[in-house]
Amino acid sequence: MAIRVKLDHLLLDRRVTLTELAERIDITIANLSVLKTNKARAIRFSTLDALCRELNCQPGDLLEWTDEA
Amino acid sequence: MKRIQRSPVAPVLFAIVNGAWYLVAIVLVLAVVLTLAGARVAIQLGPDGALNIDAAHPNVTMAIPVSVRVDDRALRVAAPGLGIDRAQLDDLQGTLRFPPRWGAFFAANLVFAVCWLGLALWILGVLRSLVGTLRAGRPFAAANASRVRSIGWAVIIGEAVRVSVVYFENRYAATHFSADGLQFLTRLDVSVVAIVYGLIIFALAEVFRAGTRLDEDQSLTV
Repeated sequence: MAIRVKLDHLLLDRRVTLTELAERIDITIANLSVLKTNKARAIRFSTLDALCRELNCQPGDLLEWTDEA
Repeated sequence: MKRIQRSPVAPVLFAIVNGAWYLVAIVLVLAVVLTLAGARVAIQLGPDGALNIDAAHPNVTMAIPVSVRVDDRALRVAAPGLGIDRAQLDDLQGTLRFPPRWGAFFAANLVFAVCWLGLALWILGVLRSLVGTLRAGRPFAAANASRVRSIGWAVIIGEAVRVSVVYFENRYAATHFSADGLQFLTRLDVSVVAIVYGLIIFALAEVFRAGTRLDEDQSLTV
């Protein structure tokens, strides 16, 4: 996918585990894992909003476009 | 894959299709057993070692579809109440029932009946799997599009086979039977409705395919 989710970097920076984040934004770990491993096909604005709020970042900090096929 | 709310109709549909599957399976087993038993009775080795073939069983009748044209001189059709003193019966379709004679035609009909029941059983099996996914709340399971498509093919191919068989049975009747005032016809009786049903099922298969793709997208939307 050309859009990469940099959730792993942000989690490392903020020293937050996937489980903690899942509890804080009320999303299942399975879904968050799909996002973290770049398997997601789409992300809801509500999810993006919750992630930015909890990780104190901008959408651009979370998403990155790469030239991969 | 996310489950959607279960349809209240699905369990009823599943029960009906399941019941039909068992019914056809029993009829198929009976047909195979009777066919084998009939063949065993009909084909016997004579005392001189020669093959003795006799299928004129007293209680067995064979029925084949026929098309007939009625000679309007032999059969007068009128509606006096409407003031119509002469009407005409055109091509009629019906069933010709007769005691069978063992031979290629009889054997081919038995084999065809067993194959037909087998096809019906297979379609019902596919339909049962399909309705099973509906019952489980997973209508867009990945296999469903190909299941629907295969049912569509079965309907179209089944119709083609039916037309061919009816044609040859019509021809058999026209060759061997005669009746006063009737003329047996040989017709290619293609059912447009069956073809249209097949095409509608193909369209439904495409709907299922698109639905499966949307469902996958939906399940990977976080």
